[in-house]
Amino acid sequence: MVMFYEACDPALLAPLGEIRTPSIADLFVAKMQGGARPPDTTSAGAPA
Amino acid sequence: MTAVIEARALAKSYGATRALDGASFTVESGRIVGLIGPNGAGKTTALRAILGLTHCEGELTVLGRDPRRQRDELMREVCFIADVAVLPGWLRVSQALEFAAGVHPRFDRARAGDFLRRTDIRMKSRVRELSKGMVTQLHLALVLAVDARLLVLDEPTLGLDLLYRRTFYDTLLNDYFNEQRTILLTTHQVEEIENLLTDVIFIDHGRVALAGAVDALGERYVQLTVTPEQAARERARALP
Repeated sequence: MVMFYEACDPALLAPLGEIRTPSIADLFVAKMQGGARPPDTTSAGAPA
Repeated sequence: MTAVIEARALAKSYGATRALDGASFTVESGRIVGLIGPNGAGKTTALRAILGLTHCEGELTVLGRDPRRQRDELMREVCFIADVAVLPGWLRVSQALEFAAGVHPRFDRARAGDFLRRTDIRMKSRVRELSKGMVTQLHLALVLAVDARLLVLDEPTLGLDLLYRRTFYDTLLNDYFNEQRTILLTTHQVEEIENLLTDVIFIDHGRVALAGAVDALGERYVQLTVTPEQAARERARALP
């Protein structure tokens, strides 16, 4: 399972699995699958 | 940095279809910006609005001008290239250069000629006689010879193989781009150009889904991959 988090301390997520900086392509796919939202209201943790 | 493009609440409909639905974004000077979205997201409509080719509602300023009312002035400082298949097959290379020189006041024919002399393209050749890679090189010659502050590229490498796509972007970056120039481009091949981009604008259903500098996005988002074993372990821990 792959999830994306916004403005979240990576140290908090590290015990849960493998963390890394998403590529632009990964972020794009996640955003498109999560639906369009205004940039300032983008919620964290949208599952990809 | 100064804004090259300021767009606020852009809206455009084609019949019942909302091509742009309140899109707002800013493009700063000296950046390479990818306007990225799925088919029908509103990318081309946004580009057409920026170029003054279509009317839209909302506030739009490009290089300090309103493209809807000051298109002629604006086009002196803008270069636009659609996909590489747009040159007609009957056109000779020399005619393509003459045409560009005739329509763009900042086109430097000598510079285009210098670039083409480094290729196998002959001035007398017709476009239909050129390979797809050569057509790409011809396009690059036309782009590189325009001294524009804003370069707009709409799917510039559509239909090209990997080698020519890479050549196109490498040449653009090394021979054209500098801090006085801004490049706005759309593409479907995000993976190939993400190292080239300084900024991205994701657009979907006519709205901006995400916008920002690539570096900042890397700091803002974290990707977490959880294996089934890790998920099961966490579920077990969460149970009372």
